[in-house]
Amino acid sequence: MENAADSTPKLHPQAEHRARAPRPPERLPPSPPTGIATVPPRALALSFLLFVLLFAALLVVETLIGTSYSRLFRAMGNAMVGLGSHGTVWFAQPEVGGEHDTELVVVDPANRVQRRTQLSSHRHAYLPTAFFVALALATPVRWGMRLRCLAWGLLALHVYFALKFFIFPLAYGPGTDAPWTLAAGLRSVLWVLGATTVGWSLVPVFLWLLLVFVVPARRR
Amino acid sequence: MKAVFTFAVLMGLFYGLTHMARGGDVVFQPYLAALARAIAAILRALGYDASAAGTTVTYPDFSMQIVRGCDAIEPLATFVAAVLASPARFLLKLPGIIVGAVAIAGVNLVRLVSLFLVGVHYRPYFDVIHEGVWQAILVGLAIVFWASWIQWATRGERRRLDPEAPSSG
Repeated sequence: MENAADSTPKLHPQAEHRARAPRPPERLPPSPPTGIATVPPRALALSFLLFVLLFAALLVVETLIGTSYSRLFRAMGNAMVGLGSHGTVWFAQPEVGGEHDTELVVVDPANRVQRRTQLSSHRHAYLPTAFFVALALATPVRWGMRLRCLAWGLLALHVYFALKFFIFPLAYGPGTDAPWTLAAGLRSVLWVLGATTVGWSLVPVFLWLLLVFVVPARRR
Repeated sequence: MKAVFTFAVLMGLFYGLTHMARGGDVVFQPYLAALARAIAAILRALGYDASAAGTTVTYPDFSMQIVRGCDAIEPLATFVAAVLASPARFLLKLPGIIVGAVAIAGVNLVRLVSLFLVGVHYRPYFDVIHEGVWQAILVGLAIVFWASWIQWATRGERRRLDPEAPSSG
């Protein structure tokens, strides 16, 4: 009588080896483009219109709160940098009004030479904030994602502002006029981010790209 | 992530080059003067007795000088950097860059003409519209043009991978 185990067909040793070897992972088919690639043109146009309206509204708001915002900007600078500087760095209100609503005063402790630099809270802080808020709220994605982007983005943006307060005295201190120095490099960066036509929008756009595209894609 | 950082690097290169370029204004002067002449021509077509002298557009009650920053080079650079950083074939990027550049230049002309009209009729609002609203609109449009290019550049791939999905671009 034939043993049932003997009826199992035996594989050639090489085939048996291949059967036991680990299989390479199956390559999943590429997923179709998502996100901005699939937003209908009409929705894109409406989102742009919403962005413009929101931004314009925030500029109108600034006419009402501009003075308080400048005061807050100077207070932030003094709290972050001024207090620990032993009287060598402070942010003051300039004597003459205008676009530059903040005066950075840096004193060389060795010879008490002062250097005063005019800054604008509007270009360095309010415009990037308003731009980011309008961009985040107008993005054609689910509202939950818009609000998450807004919350994290505002936090990151204000960390960036805080960093700038530390960089200002390094860039605009007395005796920092020599070219090809760290101070000169920092002045160039601050010039791009605060004084050029649209440079102030770079960091908000960068944060928006990260929060709307990169982070959700990694989560998927 | 690589695309976002490529975008940041390209913008850094752009600003580095433009900041270091000495006498760059000399290179741009002919373009700015041409812009001024185009604005004056459009205003005359709209019934305003405007003229261009060099880079300045003049009108009896108002004049506007066209300077660096009025040329929309920065929003254009933002758009080009976004397209170059996006993962797509170069043959798809080139037409996008050309069409986008023409579109941004056209919008910039509209911007300058509208700013002149605001300066003539609504002078108190000139600064906020000049330095706030229109700058944000240009950057916003650069993003919209980039999104439109992404839709055009990926339409083939979308149809191939999901033939039943409605075409959106």
